[in-house]
Order: sequence, then structure tokens, then C-alpha cells
Amino acid sequence: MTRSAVSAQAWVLPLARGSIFWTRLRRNRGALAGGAIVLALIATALLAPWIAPHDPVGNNLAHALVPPGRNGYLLGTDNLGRDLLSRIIFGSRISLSVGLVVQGAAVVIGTSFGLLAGYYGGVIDDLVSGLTNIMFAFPRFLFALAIMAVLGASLFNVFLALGVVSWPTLCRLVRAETLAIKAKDFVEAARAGGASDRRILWRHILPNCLGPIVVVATLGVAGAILSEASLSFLGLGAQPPAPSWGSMLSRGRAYIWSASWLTIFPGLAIFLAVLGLNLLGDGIRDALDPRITR
Amino acid sequence: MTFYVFRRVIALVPIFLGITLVTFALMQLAPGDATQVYIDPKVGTLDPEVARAVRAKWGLDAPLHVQYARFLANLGQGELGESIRTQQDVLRAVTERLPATARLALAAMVVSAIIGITAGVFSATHRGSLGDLLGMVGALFGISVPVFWLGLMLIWLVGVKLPILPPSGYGQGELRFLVLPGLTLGLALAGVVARVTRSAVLEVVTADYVRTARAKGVAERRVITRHALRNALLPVITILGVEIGGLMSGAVITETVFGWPGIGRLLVDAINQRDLPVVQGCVLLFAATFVLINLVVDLTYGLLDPRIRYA
Repeated sequence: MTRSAVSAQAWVLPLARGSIFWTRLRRNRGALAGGAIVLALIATALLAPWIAPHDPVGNNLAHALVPPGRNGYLLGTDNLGRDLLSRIIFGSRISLSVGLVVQGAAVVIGTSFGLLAGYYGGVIDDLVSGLTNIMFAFPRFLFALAIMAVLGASLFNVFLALGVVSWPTLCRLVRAETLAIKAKDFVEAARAGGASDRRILWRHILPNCLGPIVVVATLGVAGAILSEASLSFLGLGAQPPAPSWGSMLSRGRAYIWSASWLTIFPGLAIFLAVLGLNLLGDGIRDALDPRITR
Repeated sequence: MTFYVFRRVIALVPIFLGITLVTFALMQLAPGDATQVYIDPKVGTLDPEVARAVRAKWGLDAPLHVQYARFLANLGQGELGESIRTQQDVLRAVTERLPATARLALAAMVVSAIIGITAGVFSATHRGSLGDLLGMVGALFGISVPVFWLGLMLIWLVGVKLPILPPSGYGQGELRFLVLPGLTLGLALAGVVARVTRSAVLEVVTADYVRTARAKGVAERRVITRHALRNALLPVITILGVEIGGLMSGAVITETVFGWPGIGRLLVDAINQRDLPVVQGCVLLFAATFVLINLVVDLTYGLLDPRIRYA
């Protein structure tokens, strides 16, 4: 048996173009709705400077607390006269960047550690598992809070804190998948064919982990957006005048009776973004699930 | 069985040590040290002699591992330090606020259990129906909604539409103050509970022993309650344990939104005032509680499912 035959057989990416995954995903209406919302979110973040009707940070006290629909302010203005719609549009940049960067880092770090721990076992596994077990002893959001307490409030520290609490989940997942795949025949065949460890990890084990990684990462972006909003709400995120959705809600609190739109709309934005990502993540998980026979 | 318990308890020791180490190391990362408190803002810097004396007094001139050992020794005696701001003993500050948080947590668990388990069981037993769809959509909404937004929306509703409940505060501890915060946190968690319950019940309802019960002619209602539910409840108990983490994090936010005088608010206030001893104490306590509750959940699991014990 030649080497190339073995590796060709093992290169079965569940997310590959022709696989049944895409058919099943397309049939899931929830996933489609979620995907549409996520695309809208990405588009909003990318095109913010062009689609926002007003300046998101410029004060305009003459137009403070204008209700939605008047004076050309579709969603009204806040106490400093800033257009709420523009702030929400620019806020999508903060939320999305936090979500993507945090989960991106978590995937890279978690996958690397998980692969190494699962494949090599021994001392490496003991160290990595010990570390992740201790990380799991802390409730995630609370630990992120503690990190923010120590390092101070800023958007960069939010990236750091959320990144630190997010990688253990992926590490544990990838480690478990690696252990399962390591025991399979095609891995043994590859090793018998003379494949190096690095080749096995990169071409055989990692591709078969990708499905669960994508699911967890997608749901993780939703979680990161929610966490960033919560941190901002507590005053620990991007500092003013940055239009973070969470801090908009926090400042809108004072006006909850007089200008309720300041609390309704930013919260709605957070809710929709997280909902879309959850729908998409659930859809991907269901499309990959081998037990569903439809 | 007792050996199983013993083993699990012993496994806690390195975890607890790890928690203290991580917390201690984290606090060391804070810029500046305790001498900051003594700096006269008009002067801006501290006389090096005074700085040295302060450090010696607080033991900050000792090498790190010695500081850590002292930290552990203090912990063993229940000494968590003093608040920088109020000079109050940290442990006392936390235990004063514990009852408020405990009431909130309990209320939220009850709400999430009632709503979540009912919805989950209904969805599973009426799989594919409109009720199932609505239940799961509701659950998805529950896990997607930001807790603080839900709280604020409820406050707004109560203030504008239903002025029969107090929108915030603790009062003298009367039950009506507990309704909104408990509902907020409970609804947010009910989503997770509903989803897990649904999948757990679905797995059980197709099992052979359930088919046997039906074949014997047992009424459907009894099949569910006496046979299916007991086994389906096992992963639900697990999720209630995991929920504790979400409960603690959610409590921090809920207490801030509703002005609830609990440990969560203590933590947030301490963070905003850079009162690190209090932050450290709260984090340690939350983590220790989290680990202990997970242990209790594990042991309960072992108690209910004999197969786990001998694995």
C-alpha cells in the first residue's frame, strides 16, 4: 500500500465542498436564518463608516435625547446628542472583533495544546490537563472579571482576559477528539506506512477534529460577544466614547423611564447577534451529527 | 462507596492548591503594590524610606514563594485580608452579603428548574409538534439574551406597565423584591436546562425498558414519571451543577442591575475601586464554592447511578 493511498483515504474532511454537510445545513431553516444574521453583522461591521448616517462619537447637545423617528434620527439620540443607530452600527465592530479575535486565539492555542496532549500523552498530557482542570475550577466570566480587575479596564485587556478563559474549552475538546482518532485504524496504517508524527497530526488527526472545532468556535464567538457586552456593561470594557453595546446599555440605564430607546435598541443588537451565532452553531452541529438520519 | 467519596475528596486538594496559586499569581500582576495607598496625591511619589518600611511591614519584600506560603497559611486560618477601602475584614464583608446572594441563587434555580424541566419534558414528549418548536425557540432566546438587558427590560415593564412589583432594591428582604431579580436570572438559565432536559428525555424515551413498560400496558403518564424521568434526570442534575458557574456569573450582573446587596455587587464595586484584597477574597470563595458544588453533584450522580461508582 503506497503512502499516498493511505493519506488519500484518511483525508475525509466533513466540511468538504461536496459532502452531505452542506445539503443538510441548507435544509435547516434556523441555520439559514442564523447565517443571514451573521452575514448582516459582518457586513455592518465592515461597512460601518459608509452606512452609518451620523458621527457615532461627536457630541451634539442641541439634539440630546431625541426620540426615535424625529429629526432624521432613526433610533433616537442619547444624552449627548449622538445618533443611536450610528453608535450601534459602529458598536458591531467592537463586538465582532472581540468575538473573532478571542475565539481565533482560543482555537489556535487550545487546538495546539489539545493535539499535543492527546497525541503524545505522558508528561505533556499531565501538564496540559492539570492546567485546564485548574482553569475549569473558576467560573469563566468571574475569572475574566478578576483579570480585568488586575489589569485595568480597556478593550485590549478584554481581548486578553476573554482569550485566557476561552482556550481551555477547545483544548479539552481537541484532546478528547485526538484520543479517539488516534485509536483508529487509518492512523495506525499511516504510522505503519512511515508517516512522521507531524504528518499524522496535521493531515490525519486535525482534519477530523475540524467539525467539532467549528461548532464550538461559532458558539464561542456568541459567548465572547455576550461576555464583552457584560464586561462593558460593568464599566470594564472599551472606554468612552467608544460605542460598545454593553456600555451604551449601562449609560442608558439612567434614562430608562424617560428615554427607554437607549436601553431597548443596544440590547436588541446584542441579542440578535448572539441569537444568529447560536442558530448557526446549532445548525452546524446538527448537520455534522452522524446520528441524525434525515 | 465510601472509597469513591474519599478518592474524589482527595482529588480536590491539588485543585484547591491550584486555585490559590492562580489567584495569588494573578494578584501579583497588578501594577503597583500596596504602597500606592500611602502616596499623597499632591506629592505624587513616595519617599523610598517610607516605601521600604511599608513593604517590610506588609511582608512585600520577601521573595514570592515565601509570600505565597504566608498567603496559604493565612487562608488556612480563615484570614483573607482587609479591604483597602473600608479596612473591614474581607471574610466578614463576604459573609455579610452571602445570604442575599444565596436567596437570589436559590430563587433563580427554582425558576429555571420549574420552567426548564417542564418545557424540556413537554418538548421531548411532543416531539415535532408546535409546542416542541415553541419550547426550543424559547430556550434559544433564553440562552441568547443578555442577562442585564433582560433585567432592564423587566424593570421597564414593571415601571411602565405593571407597577405592582418594586423595580429594584432589597427592601427589608421581603419576597416581592426577590421576584424580578430571581425571574431575570432564572429565565436566562431556564434555556440551558430546557435544552438539556429535552435531549436527555428523548434519549430515554426510546430506550428498551420504556418500550417494555408500554408493552406491559402501563399508562403513558406513569411510563414517563416512573420510568423515563428518573433516568433522564441524571444529565439534568449534571447540568444543574454546571449551571452554578452561570449562576455565579449571572448573579454578579443581576445584582448590579437590581441593586441587590450580595457578593456579586461587592465584587463589582471592589473592582471599580481597585480594592484588590476584596476581589481576591471573592474570587477564591466563588471558585472554592464552584468546585465543592461540582463535587456534590458528582457524588449525587454516583449515588443515583450505581454504574458510575464502579467505573
